[in-house]
Amino acid sequence: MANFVARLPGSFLLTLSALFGYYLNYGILTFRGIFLVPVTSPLNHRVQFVFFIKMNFSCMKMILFLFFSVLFFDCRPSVENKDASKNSAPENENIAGINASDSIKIFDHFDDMQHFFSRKNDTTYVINFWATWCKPCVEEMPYFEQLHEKYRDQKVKILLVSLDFKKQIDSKLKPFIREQNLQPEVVVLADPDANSWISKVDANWGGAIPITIVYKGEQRQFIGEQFEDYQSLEKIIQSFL
Amino acid sequence: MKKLIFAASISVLSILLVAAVWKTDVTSTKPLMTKAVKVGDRAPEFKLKNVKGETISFDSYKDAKGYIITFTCNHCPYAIMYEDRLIALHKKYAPLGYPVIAINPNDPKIQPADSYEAMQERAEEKDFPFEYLFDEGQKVYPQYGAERTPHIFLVDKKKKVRYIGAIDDNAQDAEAVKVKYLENAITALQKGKKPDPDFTKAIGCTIKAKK
Repeated sequence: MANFVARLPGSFLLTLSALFGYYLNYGILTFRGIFLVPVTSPLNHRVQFVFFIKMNFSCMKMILFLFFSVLFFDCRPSVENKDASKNSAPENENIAGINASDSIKIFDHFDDMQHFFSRKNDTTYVINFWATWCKPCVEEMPYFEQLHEKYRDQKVKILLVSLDFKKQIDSKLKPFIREQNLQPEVVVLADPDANSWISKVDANWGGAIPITIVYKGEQRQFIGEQFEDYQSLEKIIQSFL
Repeated sequence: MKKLIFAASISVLSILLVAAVWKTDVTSTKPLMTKAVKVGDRAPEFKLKNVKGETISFDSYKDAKGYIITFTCNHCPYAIMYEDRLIALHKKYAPLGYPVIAINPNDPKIQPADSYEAMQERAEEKDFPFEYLFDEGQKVYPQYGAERTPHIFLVDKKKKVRYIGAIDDNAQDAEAVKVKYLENAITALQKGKKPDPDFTKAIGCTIKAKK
């Protein structure tokens, strides 16, 4: 159901374009044609196509058809498929041991999650601090999604530590995770005394987000800014593998 | 033909509009840091425009015993959570010689909600009793080494930086604050003592600057 909501803007656009198409045809044009216009979605950076249709027949029917077709068909893999493949992947044990996307683990004290930052094994851990209210964070989310997708069969684990406000977990964070179909594991850190834990994450961190920490055993890297593109993130991960 | 041109331009415009809405607020985080000031360093001078169009500097405060320089902005949720506390701080400490001086360091081209006009609106809306200055051209914040909003630099009478960091230990809930870092630092200065701690960290928004 959440996916329908995510697709609503697309459907709306389509309807608009259909109206324009109808208007064009109604006015002057005599030929019919369908034009595909690629439009990049703002959050997941995936290209979706917007139809421009010039019509000379029942406009209403066409608009309704388009509206529902976008609502029901999508070029992205469906949630069901993704979940299925996720559950079947043997490597997919989450860092905090949470699977259900609807029950997000909330840490009221940083100390309870400090062990995520110092696991001694040969897995590469990628820990990103973010929030839905932070625009640069939201912009780089697709890169972590892509990383998760590409390295799901390797010893790479991603943890997205959300600093969303506790009262906005249900109203902002959960809908965001659903709409973006975010696959990496998300936990919430709600320890208000940030001064007490920021330096425990990294001595170089002042507290602005986003930041990312990548580590494997003793090898460790702190990235104190937004990733400009997916490649700059992947390059760092590759240096750990 | 006119009709066609009209229709075509409307469609193009609507696409541009949608694209513009999607593209606004694309923010970057690359710091332009030259050399960040540390506690004990001299506070960099500034001459910045307030929301009334007047130029404000340290010299604008004749009887100041210190200055609560706060890098803050309109759009950041953390800045917003501290607005009322900043107002209260100014009302309490300006009469004692420690005025709040708020500086918006963000590039409005990247974050339009932090434009000079938006600052004027917010200052009026919230009836800011303190000066709200615009770091036009982003010359001042890199000298201070401000990295986020809000970010406090408490400066003493001799323009020496004495405390850097957070206002208190709970951004989200003013009622649940346990330690008022900034107020404690001011109290220390009033007593001629060294603030302890003189440096704290806090969550905040990155300062928006071009890459």
